[in-house]
Amino acid sequence: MKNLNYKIQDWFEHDKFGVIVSIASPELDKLPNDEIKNLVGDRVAILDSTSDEKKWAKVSEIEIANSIIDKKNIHICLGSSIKLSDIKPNSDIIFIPKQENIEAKQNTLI
Amino acid sequence: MKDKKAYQVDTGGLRGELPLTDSQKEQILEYIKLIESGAPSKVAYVRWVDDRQMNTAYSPGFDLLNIGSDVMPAIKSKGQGTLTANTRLTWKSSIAHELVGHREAALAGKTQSETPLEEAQASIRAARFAPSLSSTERYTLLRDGITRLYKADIKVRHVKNILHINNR
Repeated sequence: MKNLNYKIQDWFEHDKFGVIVSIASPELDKLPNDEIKNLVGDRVAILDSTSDEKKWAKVSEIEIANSIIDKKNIHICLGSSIKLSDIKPNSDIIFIPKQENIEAKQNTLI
Repeated sequence: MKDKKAYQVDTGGLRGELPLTDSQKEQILEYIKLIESGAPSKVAYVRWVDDRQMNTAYSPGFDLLNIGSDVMPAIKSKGQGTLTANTRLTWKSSIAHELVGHREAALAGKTQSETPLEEAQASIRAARFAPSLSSTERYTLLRDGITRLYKADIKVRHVKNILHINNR
């Protein structure tokens, strides 16, 4: 089973696109870009590994950049669905498999 | 004290793995300014990621340039064979590959959908149009571009008219 939990390496607020978090992992380097986009999905959780607090965020865009030796930087745009200050150092991003994704959406509606 | 190991990106020895010094960062920023002076616009976001597990790469959608420790070439150890072109690229060549190669092609709407073509295009563009590179740096970039096509079993003559390599 694929790992669904990755350490956030960088995060910042883009003038046009809002909050962007970036990850990189040798495991993801091996996957085709489309597969990575499917894995990320359209909703993620940001886990503060110190407090164990989880916040949900909506993915508005994913961009994958290749380095000169074919390693990947994966930039996940969360727009205004989360505040930059909600992302603490040493936070993880958790990709949500489809079924859990539906449950997360229902919880948000409730 | 923080564990130095935790700050190192693993490139498998193919590129630099040590955090950049302030002096290296200053030189890189100067070179970015030089490239920008001949480009349609300035890069919107330059983010240093040399102290974490990220890589030097350009993202056109966000106009974002990440600069990692891998902007530096690999240090050839004793007894090691000849390094490939992409491991020998200098920091100037790497920045030129990202900005003149990827960014300026993206701004012109000429990004290639196939990765080997996009990477080859970036290296050939940098070799031809980037400012202030030595002839060795240009030759190594050209070798990198051709090698990428060769590895993907693509003949240069079949794609030379598709690639955006004739003007900056």
